[in-house]
Amino acid sequence: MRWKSRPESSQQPAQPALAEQVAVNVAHLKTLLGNSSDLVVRELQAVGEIRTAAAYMDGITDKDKINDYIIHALLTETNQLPKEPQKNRQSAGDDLLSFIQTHALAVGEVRIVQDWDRVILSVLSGDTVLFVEGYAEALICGTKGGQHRNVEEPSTQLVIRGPKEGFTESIGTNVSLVRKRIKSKDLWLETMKIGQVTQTDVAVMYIQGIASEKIVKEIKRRLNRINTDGILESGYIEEFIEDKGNTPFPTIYNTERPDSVAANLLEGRIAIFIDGTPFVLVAPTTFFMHFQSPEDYYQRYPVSSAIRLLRYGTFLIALFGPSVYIAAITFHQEMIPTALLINLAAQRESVPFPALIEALLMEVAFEILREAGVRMPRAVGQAVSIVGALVLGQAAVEAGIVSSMMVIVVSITGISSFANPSFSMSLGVRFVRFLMMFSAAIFGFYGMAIFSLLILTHMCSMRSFGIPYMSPFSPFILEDHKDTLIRFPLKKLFTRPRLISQQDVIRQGTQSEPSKGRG
Amino acid sequence: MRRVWLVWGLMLIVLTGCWNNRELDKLAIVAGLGIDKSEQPGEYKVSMQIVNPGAITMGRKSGGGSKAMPVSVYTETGSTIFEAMRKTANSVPRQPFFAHTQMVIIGEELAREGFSHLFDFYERSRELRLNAPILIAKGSKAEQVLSLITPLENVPASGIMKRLTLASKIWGGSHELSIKALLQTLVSKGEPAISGIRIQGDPQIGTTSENLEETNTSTSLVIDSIAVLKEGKLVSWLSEEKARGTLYLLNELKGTIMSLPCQDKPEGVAIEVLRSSTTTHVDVKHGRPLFRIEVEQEGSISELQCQMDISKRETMVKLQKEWAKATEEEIAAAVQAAKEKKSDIFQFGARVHEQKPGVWKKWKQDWPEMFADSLLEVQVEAYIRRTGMRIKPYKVGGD
Repeated sequence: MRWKSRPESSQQPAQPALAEQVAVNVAHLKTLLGNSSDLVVRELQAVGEIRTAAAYMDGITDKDKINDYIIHALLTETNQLPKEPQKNRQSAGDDLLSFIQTHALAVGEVRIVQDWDRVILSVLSGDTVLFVEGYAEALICGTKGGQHRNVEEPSTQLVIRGPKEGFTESIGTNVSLVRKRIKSKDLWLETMKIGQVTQTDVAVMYIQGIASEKIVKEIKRRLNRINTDGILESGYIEEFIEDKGNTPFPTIYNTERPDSVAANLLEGRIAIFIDGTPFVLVAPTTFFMHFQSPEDYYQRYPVSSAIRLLRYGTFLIALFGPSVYIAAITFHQEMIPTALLINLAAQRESVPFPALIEALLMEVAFEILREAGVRMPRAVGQAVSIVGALVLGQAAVEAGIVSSMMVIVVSITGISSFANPSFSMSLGVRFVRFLMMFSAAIFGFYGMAIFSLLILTHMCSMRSFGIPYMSPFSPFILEDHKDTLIRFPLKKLFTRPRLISQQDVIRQGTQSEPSKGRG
Repeated sequence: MRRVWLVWGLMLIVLTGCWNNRELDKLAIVAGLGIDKSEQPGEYKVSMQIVNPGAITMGRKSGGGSKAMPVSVYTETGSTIFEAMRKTANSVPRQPFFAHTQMVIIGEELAREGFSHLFDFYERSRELRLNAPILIAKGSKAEQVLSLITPLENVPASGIMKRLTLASKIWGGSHELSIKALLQTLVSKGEPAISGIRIQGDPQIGTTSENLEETNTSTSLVIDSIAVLKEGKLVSWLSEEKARGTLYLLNELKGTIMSLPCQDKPEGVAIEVLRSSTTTHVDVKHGRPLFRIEVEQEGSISELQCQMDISKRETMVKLQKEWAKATEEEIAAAVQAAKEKKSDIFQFGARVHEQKPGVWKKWKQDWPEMFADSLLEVQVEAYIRRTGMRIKPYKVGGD
């Protein structure tokens, strides 16, 4: 359902042009904003007796800047101008506005605009608009500011070794965090506003010469196509621009870490910043990206490789854990070693439910706990997790509702799903796990094999901005395996992923290896 | 995507898998299977040792306080094995599940009448495992053996299985013969070498928990002999050295202890056999089969009960020769015992078939007679590789 029938761009009637009278302009501005009480209008006499008015929104502007560099400057600096503005109006008028622009306003960004649309947008973005009597134009001064969160440690994707900075809700801060890391003239940024009502700032960042131009163009095309009233989080953009919506697996990566964005930019990917969220989108994305933690590159490579393999293992446990258990004890008892089977049989002796119901009970209870743990106030979190995890688990086993083995299976599955560095991926796995449990309960390992095949087919059929989701496995690209299942030493990682950066694949010279013998 | 769904649906229908879904608590896990002769002529008595999982873990939790026995034995008769097995449904509340059957025991009475025709159901069944070993209850009924409970192992059948494996691995007095191997020998001309299991002590006490409450267990199970079969019928038993000789000939000896004379003590040296390999060559001599057995074995000295100076090379060479001779004697004794009963438990027939297929065609008609008339040459090469943690033994009283 897309709003295809809706007309493009402005739905409102055309705005009247700016008036020459300050009073009219101010009144019109107030009307346009519905007399919102956070609009501040400061009328003052600049250049002696010329009426001017500065208008800005309270709270999203830097007040000190307005006071010191706009109002104060206007009151003092403009008095030096000759006091005959009415004479030779045409040229003097220009002189006055440009004089104010060049001499009076001590702020970095000043523009002259003629239409109301831009005035309104600027005011709402936190800029200050300056009307001058006798001019059907307005000066826009960049005074964006206001309160936002400081740069803190990201709350997701934590690392032990590595930078502790995380993105904030301010797009300017976020862009600067990446700029700080890549000081290159080729780091290009393009900003646009998306959302007819929210007018959210969205910025596309890429490294010119590394990122594939085709993909950059495609991303911009898809972003421009978005026609919605509001963008509140990166998830909105993600859903609007992704290739395939009907999948539990994320086809666009999101991260809270500037170092992760920087690394991806260097690999030729494109970052999309959205104002108002600390999550930055990275595209194109492959399945295996979700298993890479920034820390893999900060720790020694043998250890990182082992840990990365462990992470793939946890993915498999999170996906198959309960289903393997269900299939083994209801279909394939002969596969279980005798001693273990007797043990399991003894545990299941008192359980009144079939294995699937037992598993579903525990899994759903666990999902409830997890959901409650995320939503509830911090202060009661501890109590709920103790009651939930310990008391519920223990009591359920003692009451004979579930077997202890099932509690073990569900716990290890739950823990495994947290081990994935990408939360979006583990959400997808959580979802597929339930379907997998049903296929295991109906057809045993056979059903699991068939269902896995279906999922694999689905994953291989997906693309992220034209890049196959399962690359470098499907299609198989040998060079890219240096950094997929395991991580090769950095000295050996001299190429960028082949499909992603299609132009400049050589990353470093091979001479970065120290020469042998001479130390 | 539609095509993917189509292929997926087709796979579900066309491919095969394990169908029936059975909950664990509806299964009775059969740990051991026993087959005896029934009082009714032409009928068999099938005993199943069924695990009682609740009792096993309850015992673990409360330190053995539970009254329930870890296993129960159910017996039924029928003219076929499968009929008897199915009949137990009348008495067992759960469906017997045979995939974890540890071994099959044949009662001696039935073994003497012949049992080689009984294993078709084993091959046909999808549940039973062909790698489970087979045993003959020496001097008792299979049912009695299955009914015994012994310490250390909760499930007696697993206990028997572990005994068998251990005994053939470190003592060399028994032979672990799987059903699969049994079937292979049954279709050839040889006779299977099946281990015997006997009850030591009172079988009645052994079926009660009383047996577990004594430190000196009054009833136990012993696996120490190998059955000699003729045309699938039990004729006699080989024990001790002859059993070990059989294992040498089957090239199945994994480890054992050999005793050799130590100066004046007739059995004062203990040698642990670490590795042994046997090759059998077939020859024809005067129209009679000649088997050349070559054994190569390595071992270490584990015990010395006299003042033998084994640091000297000559002593060691002497010891090695004695060891080789003792081995030769054991092998010869085993062959002699089998020849007397005209039972080729060493699979010599198969060797002839492999090495002299032309001759085998003539011989296979009356192979038991040819085997009984065969000649034997044994050559053993024995090497003592180590002497343990010291060389000379300690001297009481010193010099």
